[in-house]
Amino acid sequence: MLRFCDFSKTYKGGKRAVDGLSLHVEAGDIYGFIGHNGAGKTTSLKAACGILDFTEGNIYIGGISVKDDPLATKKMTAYIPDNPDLYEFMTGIAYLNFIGDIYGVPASERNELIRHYATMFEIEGDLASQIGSYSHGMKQKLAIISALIHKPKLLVLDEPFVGLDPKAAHLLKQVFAELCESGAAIFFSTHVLEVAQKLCNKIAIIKGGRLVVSGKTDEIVGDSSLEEVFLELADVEGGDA
Amino acid sequence: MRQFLMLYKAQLSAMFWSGNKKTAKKGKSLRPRSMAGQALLWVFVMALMGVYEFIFMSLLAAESQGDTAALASFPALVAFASMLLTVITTVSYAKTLLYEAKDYELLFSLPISGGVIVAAKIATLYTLDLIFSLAMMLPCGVFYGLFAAPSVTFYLFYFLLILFVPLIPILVACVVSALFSLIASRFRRTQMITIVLYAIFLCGVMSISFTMSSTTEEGLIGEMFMGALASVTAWYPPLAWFYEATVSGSALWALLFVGVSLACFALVALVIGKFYGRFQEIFRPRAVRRKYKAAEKSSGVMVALMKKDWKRLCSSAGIFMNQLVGLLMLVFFAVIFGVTDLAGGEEEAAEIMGVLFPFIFAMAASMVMDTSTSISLEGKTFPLIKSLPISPKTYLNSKIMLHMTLCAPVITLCGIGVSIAKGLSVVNLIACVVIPLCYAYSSGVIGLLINLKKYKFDWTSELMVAKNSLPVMLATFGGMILSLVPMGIAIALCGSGFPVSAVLIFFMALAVTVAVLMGVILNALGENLFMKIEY
Repeated sequence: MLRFCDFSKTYKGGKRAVDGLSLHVEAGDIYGFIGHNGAGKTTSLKAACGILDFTEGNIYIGGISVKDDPLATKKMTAYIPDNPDLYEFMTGIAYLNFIGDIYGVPASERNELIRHYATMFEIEGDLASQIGSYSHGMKQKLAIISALIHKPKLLVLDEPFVGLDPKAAHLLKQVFAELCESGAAIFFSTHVLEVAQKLCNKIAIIKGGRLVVSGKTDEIVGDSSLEEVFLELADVEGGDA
Repeated sequence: MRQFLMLYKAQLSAMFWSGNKKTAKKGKSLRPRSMAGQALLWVFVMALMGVYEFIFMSLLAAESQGDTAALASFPALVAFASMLLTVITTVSYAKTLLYEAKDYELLFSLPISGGVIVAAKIATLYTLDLIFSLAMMLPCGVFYGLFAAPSVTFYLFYFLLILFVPLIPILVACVVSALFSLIASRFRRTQMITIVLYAIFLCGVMSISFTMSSTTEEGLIGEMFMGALASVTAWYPPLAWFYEATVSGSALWALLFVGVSLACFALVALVIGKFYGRFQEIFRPRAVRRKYKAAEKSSGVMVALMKKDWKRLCSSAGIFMNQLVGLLMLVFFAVIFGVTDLAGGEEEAAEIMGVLFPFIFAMAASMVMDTSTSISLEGKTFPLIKSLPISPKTYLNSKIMLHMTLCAPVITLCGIGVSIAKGLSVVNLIACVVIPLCYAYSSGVIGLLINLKKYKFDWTSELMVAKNSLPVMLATFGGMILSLVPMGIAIALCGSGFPVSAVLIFFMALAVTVAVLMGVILNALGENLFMKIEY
């Protein structure tokens, strides 16, 4: 579903944020992307979603190159950033309808999905309010609903559990599982290693823009914990945080 | 004082420095926002003002023949014009900068009093407005010196008092803005009520200034100016103090002007500062518990994007008024031209007026600046746009479409209305519609292209991108020049015996050609510029 092929990204100032990343997220995967602050996680996620331009390597979604046909790949993808900067001047429902219109979701289908997810995440009563009045967690919930209403084949999330209350975090995990059962893939970055270990069938650890390890969670973690593995890899490489 | 200076410095840096923090992190350093370009632009604005002021001053000098009283009225009237523009441009923004700024929580969490925060914010507004006052008033002082040869005290007091000229208008704007916001906060459709109140206020200010400047209908220019000054000072006494201080060289009047200005500043900062937290509470968006209305039908991508930008425009009265002030001016001009007999019943003068109308409407139309800030106003939500399946072409076209959807009906109605009211020819009627439409389109494209190149996403108040930003300034003054210069040429051609219809047809063809060219340039450059933006 999502394939990074020797992907590298160098910013205008010369900083090489990601260096030769190769990774394959298959349909049905819940793929955790772990790394220190500034390791290159967000850059990789943004490039996959067509937000950041890149010249080296390639990224494919559903077999289509993000570079060659970004519109086609974006139609299959939903992206939730770490900090949900949404249109604060819109009401929650206006924002969801905007996203629905952009993805061409028919009104009846959209309304049903909005009702379903808004009830699930308990923000149905807030959809008539301006997003500017929402808390961080409510914005996060709205961003999640907006990502789900067009039934993406690939869900890319940057720190999705930050700001969510325990119930919403639990619900999100359920949604992840449902999506994967339906054949979608989930690729997300996180610092919460316990969540990654329990939730993801595959993980990748990135450090200083380079992939340190990737594969099935069970095989990487073995008998220890992901936290131990992560810290051990960081020490072995001798990198900074 | 130390806290005030630090905060003031921080606010100014945020206002004048470009680059975006996220880009900077990746190696690009923050740099002054094209300081040389900005300075050049202001020099250009000053030169433009200087030309107008020189023309008026020459006329006054030729007419008065040694009568300095008539000449002396001019600097005071320019000061009044500067004060008026300060009120008009600041009233809609005071709310955004003072009461709705995104840095409120950060600032209020610091051990700084509300009064200091408000003082620093008003001082920032003052700095922005002072630049404009200087651009208007400096050339006037120089020309007055050349024509009237006043004593040295004039220079001393005039150039000193310029620094205090924007203070009272800014404070008036802050108080009016707070009052309007308080009234509007009692209604459900807060923003719409605020916009209506601002529109009424601006029309009122424009009407009063128009009435005051035309108190003497006939006679010498000097008499007209002195009459206007007398009626203005009756409304606004500080102007009389300014006049007395500069012309009579009276230190007492100068002290009174400075003292009252500073006292007002301190009083307003103190009062607003005391209730700053309360204001924030009142003006912030509040959650409402009511059932939402589900969508009855879906829209296409273009319509969805236009609706989004329309909501953005309506979300802030400051943005709405600033961006669409050109349309308000257009309607104002149309009403004035439609109901008054500016030609005084003379056929030749009426013909000349017919040539002027399309260009004056074009000037107002090119001051509709929604596209000049539309990229910057995306702010931190820009990555969201980039993550959606929207082609850059559709995205950019939606901005131009919204711009034209707003401009076209107003231009058409005003053009046809004035043409019918004045009994203009068919060619003239078409010119009154086509030329402003082409100007609206071209200026919309130019504004968008400049904003794609000079964008700013890390703002804490819309003021940072919508007032005095390079794209806005270029669009405003560029539009003014590009409409006034052809207007002058058109009048010169008509005066040289060319038929009015032929001249208008020529300029219509030129305007259409430029508009088509602008469309081609947008198609050629727009996508590339959009893709280059990294945030």
